[in-house]
Amino acid sequence: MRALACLSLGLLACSGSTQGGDLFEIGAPRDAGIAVAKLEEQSRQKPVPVSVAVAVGVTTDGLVGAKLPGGAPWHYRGKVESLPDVTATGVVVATGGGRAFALDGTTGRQIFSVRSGSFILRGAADDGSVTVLSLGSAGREQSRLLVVDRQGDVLLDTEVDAPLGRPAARAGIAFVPFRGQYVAAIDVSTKQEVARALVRDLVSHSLDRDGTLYFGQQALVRFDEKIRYAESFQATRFEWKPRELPGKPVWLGDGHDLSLLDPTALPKIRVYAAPDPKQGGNALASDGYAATYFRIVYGFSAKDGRLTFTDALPGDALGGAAAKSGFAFCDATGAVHLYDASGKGTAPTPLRARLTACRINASSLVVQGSKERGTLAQQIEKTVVSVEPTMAAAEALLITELGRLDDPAVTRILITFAESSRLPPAERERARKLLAARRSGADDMLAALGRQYDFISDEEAPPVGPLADALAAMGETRAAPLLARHLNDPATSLDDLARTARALESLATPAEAQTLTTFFSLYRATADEPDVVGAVVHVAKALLRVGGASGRAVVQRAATDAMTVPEVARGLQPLLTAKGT
Amino acid sequence: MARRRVILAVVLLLGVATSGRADAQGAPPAGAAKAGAKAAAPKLDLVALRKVLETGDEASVLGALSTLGTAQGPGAAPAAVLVNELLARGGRTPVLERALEVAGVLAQPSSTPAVLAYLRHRVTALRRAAAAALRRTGGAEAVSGLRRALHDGDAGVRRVAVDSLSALGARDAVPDLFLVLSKPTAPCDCAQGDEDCQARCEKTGASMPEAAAAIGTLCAPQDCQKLVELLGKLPFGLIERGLKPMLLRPESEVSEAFKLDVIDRMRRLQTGEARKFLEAVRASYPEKGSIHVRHGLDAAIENKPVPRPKP
Repeated sequence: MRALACLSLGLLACSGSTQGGDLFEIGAPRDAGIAVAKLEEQSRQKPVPVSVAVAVGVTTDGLVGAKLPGGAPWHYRGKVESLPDVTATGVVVATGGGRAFALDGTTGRQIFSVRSGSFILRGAADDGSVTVLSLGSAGREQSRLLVVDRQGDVLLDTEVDAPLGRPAARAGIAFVPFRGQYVAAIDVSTKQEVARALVRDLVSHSLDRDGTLYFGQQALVRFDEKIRYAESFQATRFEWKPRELPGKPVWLGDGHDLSLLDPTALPKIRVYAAPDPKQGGNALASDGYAATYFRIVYGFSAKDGRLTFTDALPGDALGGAAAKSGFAFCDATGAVHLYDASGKGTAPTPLRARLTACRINASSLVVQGSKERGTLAQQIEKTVVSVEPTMAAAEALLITELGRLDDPAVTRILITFAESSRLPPAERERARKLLAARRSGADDMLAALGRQYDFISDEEAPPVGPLADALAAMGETRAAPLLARHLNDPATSLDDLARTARALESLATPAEAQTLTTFFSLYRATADEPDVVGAVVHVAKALLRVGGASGRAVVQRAATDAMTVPEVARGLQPLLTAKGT
Repeated sequence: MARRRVILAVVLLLGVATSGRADAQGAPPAGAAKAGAKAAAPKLDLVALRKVLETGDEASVLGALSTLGTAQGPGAAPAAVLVNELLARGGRTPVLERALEVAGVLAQPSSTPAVLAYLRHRVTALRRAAAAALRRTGGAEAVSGLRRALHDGDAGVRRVAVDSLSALGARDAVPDLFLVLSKPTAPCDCAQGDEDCQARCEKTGASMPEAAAAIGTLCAPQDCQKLVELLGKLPFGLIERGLKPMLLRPESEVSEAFKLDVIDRMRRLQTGEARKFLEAVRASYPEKGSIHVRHGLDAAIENKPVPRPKP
């Protein structure tokens, strides 16, 4: 049998290999990667099975799934106790009720169901002929490897007292990570290990990305002509790290973990990325990566981590995948959302049931985004407005990214955020800071200043202080009458008041002299807060500049009047003695 | 300190002293001759009072303001000029509160512009005092300022503005008063432990009953009808505050037929609070008022259909 398998694969490694014998033994002699190099060379000649993109969701009574994009949804009723896995060939594998089963991910038709006892799925792979299942046991180190063919015959069933990782499969060979360091290549027909890769990075996943295999966890090595050098760090290595993201999402996670149905927030806070086999090295598919934070999805550039797209899903994102080009996410409402690499969307694929968990394999899918979703600034606005205030961490990221954009619409959006009572105070403050630093969008700023607090209509006061800062920096004198009006509005906050007065120091014109005089007179003797004291002194400076002789007389008189607040009087003296005033 | 005592003594003396000067500007006040025929209050030494107001000594200034507040008849206008000057110059909060109060007492329209500025002061007490003063100083500017004050964030300012508009007979303000009426003061702006306020708040749905009263006092027929139509939509305890003054207004302002409709509508509510309301209106209804309205109230209290006069 083993000879037959060797013939069918043409594996040089089979002849006289020292890698045979008991599976997952660690005392076997090392062969400097010769066997795995031969295996890789031979496997290049083998056809790659057709990849199929599939999404599968867990419901209260089983599974729902569909081929992507836009496939007809199917429904499987049965006990499901693990998060299902979806192989590159579109086979859905799960465990439940003491059985491990596989479904055709495009139709939901059952391919096989075999006894699995108390073992729970870790991960699965499929080469088009056989399905490889890596199972584990809760609370125990024990693992089990099952290989089942399309007739439901179990070709291999072995238990190991060590954690196995998530497998890949290609042309009758199962690639199974074990002990965090090795990948065993097992001929499923002979049940023999035919080669082994010693990987110097932590390895718990074997990934099949549209026909190219990778091994690793935090970093990946590619199964290519350099794989024999993996043990000396010279294999083709893919290493990538996302930017700091809310909730500290994980990428692949530990492949030794059981695929449990996790009711916590962890599945909702994930990052999705994949190497680009065509570019090699550290290139990412889609030139970027995506992440989820509950209902929020966002994409980032691989080059500099800048935001490339964002959206708010109807429900919490429960799963996702980096496609060959683009990204896919499934949410709790049972919809699968596809985005191309630039963030353009497509019509969602409905699974027609609410989900508690979901999984997608889209490694061969090229998403053709047809739905324009507006500029990035508009996407950020829509996302922030759509989500609950509890999404503060992601909102903070989006608002910060908004501030980096050159889009003229940013100013208007920042004004909206700065005065939105729906946003948490810290995020409003963030928007205020970014608004103060804007140097464009003066017309939007002036329009905002035209509004005033109104108890009856529930109109909130605009973010006067930040607007004053920005308009003063731009030298926008059109703002002067509007700022002067807010100066005498009791609804203007103390912080905003001081900043408004400071802006008027440079922006005021003689037309504002009367309003400035009113403010100065009303507060020079009632200023009981440092911000008001500061505002009075700023306004005095403005009055000395634009108020003519009468303005100067008002300030002079106040400087010597016993009723003037001492702190104000102290601030006025130097103004009156300064040259040129 | 010694200087302060001296100034205070001067202020007290000025309170009763007379002066050969007619007013602060040295010109006789308008209508002085006509008013002079009556027994006039002692004239104030406005020149000296102005000097005191300019000292910046708080106690002295407060004293001078009190003195100015005693000005009557033709002496009120020149006294108001000094108060206006002080308001324009500014001062400490207690001084400004007193100045606004005195401006109200002197009731000179010339004070309205100076008082108006304080409707936008950050100190809430000054805004309230300004709204109260405008009730007496009056004029079109006062009405427009008070209408703006209905949009103030402080319920107290809004309440005083409502009362002032009502007192000024500002019928143009009725649409604004409806806005105030339908806007709950959320949350109830009662001081902790103020049980009366809490009880009123529960009864009126935290809205401002003063607005209903003002509407009832000022409404034109279509506005009066609008107020009646709020029965069932807003708490009864709120609307009744407007219906009572409306029913007590002369029939030349609110027609007899309309009043009888309202009375019958109240009867048909068949509630204890509606009956109590009708009894209260009947008790206050003027004896010289319409006999049909009086009979209508009597019938409604006895739960009989309200008789309508034959045309």
